[in-house]
Amino acid sequence: MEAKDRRSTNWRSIIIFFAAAVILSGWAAAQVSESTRVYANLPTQIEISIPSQYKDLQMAGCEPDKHVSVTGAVEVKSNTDWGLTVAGSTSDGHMLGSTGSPVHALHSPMTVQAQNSAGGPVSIPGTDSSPSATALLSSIGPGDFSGTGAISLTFDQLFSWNDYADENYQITVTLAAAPA
Amino acid sequence: MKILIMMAVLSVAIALNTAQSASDSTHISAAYPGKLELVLPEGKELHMQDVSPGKEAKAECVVIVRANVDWALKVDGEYEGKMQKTTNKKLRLKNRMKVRYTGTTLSPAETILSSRAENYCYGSPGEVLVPTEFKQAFTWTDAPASYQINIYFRLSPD
Repeated sequence: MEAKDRRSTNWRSIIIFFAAAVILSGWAAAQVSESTRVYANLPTQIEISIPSQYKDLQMAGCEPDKHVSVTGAVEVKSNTDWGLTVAGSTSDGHMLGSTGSPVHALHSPMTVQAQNSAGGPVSIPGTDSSPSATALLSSIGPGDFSGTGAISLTFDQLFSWNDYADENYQITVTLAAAPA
Repeated sequence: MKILIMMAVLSVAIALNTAQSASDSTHISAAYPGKLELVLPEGKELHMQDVSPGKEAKAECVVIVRANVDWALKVDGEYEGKMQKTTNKKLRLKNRMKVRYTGTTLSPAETILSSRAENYCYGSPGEVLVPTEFKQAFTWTDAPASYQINIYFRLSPD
C-alpha cells in the first residue's frame, strides 16, 4: 500500500514537472522578440520641363517702335528649396536674324518675367555674358509646379527702327532649376 | 580595403543627397517685316524769305525718315524743277531749284531738281532726321511775280 502511494506521488511529480515545463516553454516563446531598423534615404530631386506647346514660340505682329510679347511656361517639381535661371543661346542674348553678313542682331535684349514674381523682368544674358545665366526666381519652396500649377513666363522684345528687317529672328532660352 | 569601400559608399550617399540642376529650353522666333515711313513738316508749305533779283533765296525743312531697311531718298519737282508763276502756268523762273542736305550724320548731298526722281540721300535703318535746304537763284530777267513749285520726296529700300 505504501509502495503504491509512493508510485502515485512519483507520477504526480512527473506530470507537474512536464506541465510546468510546457507552461514555462510557452511562456518563454511569448517573450522571444527581435527587431529590425528600416532606413530610407530620400535624395533631393528637381525636375524641370517645358510643356510641348511652349517649346517653340512665335512672336507675332512685330513692327518698329513696338514691344511684342509671347507667353511661355515652365513646370518644376522639387523637394527642396530651388531657384530658376535663364540663359540665351546667342553671344549677347539678343535675337539673331538669318540674313546679312554678319547676321543682324536686334539692338534691345529680350526680357522675361515669371508670373506672380516679386521681381521685375530680367534681361536674358548671352553665352559671352558674365555670368552667362541670370536668376529669374530664387528661394522657392518645395512643391509640384506642373499642370495647372505651371509657372507662366512672359517673353518681351522691343523692335526699333534701327533693327534690320528679317523674316527669322530667333533665340533659344534655356531655363535651369537648381537647389537654392 | 574597408576604408576604400566606406569612401565609395560615402561618395554614393553624397551623390544621392545632392540634386543636380535640371534644365530645359524653349525656342523663340520672330518675323520682322520691312517698313518705311516718311514724315514731312506740318502744313507742308514753305515760304522763301528775302527774295530779290541777282541773289539766292532759300527755305528749310526737316524730313524725317523711319526705316528698318537700308533706304534711299529721291526727290523730284514739278515743271522740270523750275518754280512757276502762280497765276500764269507758262511763266517759270530761269534756274532750277537746288535741294541740299544740311545735316552731318549722312553723306553730304545736293541735287538739282528736275521732273525725274533724282537720288538725294541714303541711310541705314533707324529714325533719321534729314534737314533740307531748298535754294533758288533769282535772276534779273525773272519777272516779278509770285512763284510756286511742288516737290516730291520718294523713299524706297536701297
